[in-house]
Amino acid sequence: MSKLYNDSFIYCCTTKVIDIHSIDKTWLFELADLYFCPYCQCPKSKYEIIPRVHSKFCSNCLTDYTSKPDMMRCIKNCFICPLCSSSMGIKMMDHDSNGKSFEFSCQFCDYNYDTGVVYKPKSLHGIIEELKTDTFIRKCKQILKMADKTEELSERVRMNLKLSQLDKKEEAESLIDEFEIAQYPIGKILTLKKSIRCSTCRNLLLDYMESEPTINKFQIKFNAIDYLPTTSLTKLKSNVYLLHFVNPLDVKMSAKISSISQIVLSNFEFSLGASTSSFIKGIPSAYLSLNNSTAKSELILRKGDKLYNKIEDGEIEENLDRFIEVGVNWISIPIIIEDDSLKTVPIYVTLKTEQPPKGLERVINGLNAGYWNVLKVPK
Amino acid sequence: MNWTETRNSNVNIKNVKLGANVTILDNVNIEASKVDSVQIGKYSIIKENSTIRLPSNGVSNIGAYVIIGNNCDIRSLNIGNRVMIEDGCVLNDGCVIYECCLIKSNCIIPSKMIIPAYCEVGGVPGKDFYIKPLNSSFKKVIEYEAKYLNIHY
Repeated sequence: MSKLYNDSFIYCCTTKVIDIHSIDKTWLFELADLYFCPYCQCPKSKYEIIPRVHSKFCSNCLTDYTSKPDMMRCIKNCFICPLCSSSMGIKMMDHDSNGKSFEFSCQFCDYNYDTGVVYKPKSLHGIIEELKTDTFIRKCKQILKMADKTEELSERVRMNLKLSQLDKKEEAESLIDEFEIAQYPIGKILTLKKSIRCSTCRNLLLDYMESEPTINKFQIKFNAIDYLPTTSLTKLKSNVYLLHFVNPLDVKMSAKISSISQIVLSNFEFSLGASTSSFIKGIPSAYLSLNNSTAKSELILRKGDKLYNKIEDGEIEENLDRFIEVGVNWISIPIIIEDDSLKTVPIYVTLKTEQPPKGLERVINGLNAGYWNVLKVPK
Repeated sequence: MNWTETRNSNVNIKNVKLGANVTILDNVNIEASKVDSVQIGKYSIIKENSTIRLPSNGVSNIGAYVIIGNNCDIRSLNIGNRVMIEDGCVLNDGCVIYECCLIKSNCIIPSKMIIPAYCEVGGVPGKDFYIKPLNSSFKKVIEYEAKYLNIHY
């Protein structure tokens, strides 16, 4: 049972109500991409959070740049190729009268850059900045200068007018052709560690323990995958499918599901046991393979002689309840999809726990959440 | 070597230090010239037709719960814990992948590139290469996937 490739999405939008007949895919997210706000008791997508930079560093030299808010690139000797963004190797060569030259070579493509002989000690970034003398850079610098001087405003206006009149791409390209644009090695983009807050209640959903670049421990972590059940759909026979729910919580959970009229559900209300430390016990039988000895022995333990029994035509449709399978923390419910053209199944899930999940004892008395889960129908 | 599960055909593993519950599928080639020059952590899985070679300087270290897909060519220096490498990826000489990363299918990672923790990487350099942040949920997801694949094959 893959949590990575399971075609189950959650509709996550607080401003727009779902239209179950034409679901807007913009608001569909995989469970792993969502946060869960325990205060609002609902999943939160990337559009419903407030990120804030916790720390930033260069992943190459591990220099911490958190105290420099304006910097977005490493100012040390970490360079990337302007053509393919790969790391660049730097070779230094000695010359007469204390002269030095630096040769940059891309580790992936054929890009090379030579600084020529430099006599004054300077940082590599400073050297490259001095060597930026191509016509395009000069024009850019000129425009910047003009922006500060009122007497040359007419020239700036004239150039802006010329640019605004270019409505065709070819014309714009011809203008660019007038300039000589050279490519220079660029500093490596910094990596950010972000703390996340809920946009509704402003409570922290994710926060790092330390700003140290190599330590990635979280002080606060509210991910949807730790609170909401994993849902998936597998095909049983022709138009009969199995709907699986797996409880990630360490407390018992009761759930209620409802769906559209084209879907016949055998059970609307059920309870899921607390998650177990035994990995294999927490996997629904439909996902256990007979090719693996461990999985096969578990299947035999669960089903016994029934494992090799063939399901006859119409048997499931007549008695759906008989095919409900309940595990330690999971349930598999048979459903009939009457409309063959249906590609997705929207299900509204309501969850409730009598006890608060571990770590949320001080925040809530119990989980009480509801959301739309959209599942792709397997072929 | 604690325990390893391999299928019965064309698996070449010599001088490799394996953790517990490592699964290596058909036609996998691990080229390790010195003793313990390739180390693979627990619950890792290497799928069919993949090759692991030593980087030009040093040993190759692959962490725990690492999933290496079909037809991959790995020549990295270090792969952290809980890394998912999808099918057809090429990890060039000396690259370093920190923990909890997702390398999308047919991605090429250039030599000596360092991928920070919690990142998704995809594409080919010079074409459509990208590195973007990955949700912290993937730590659990990739570990679950590795454990599941261990009882699936």
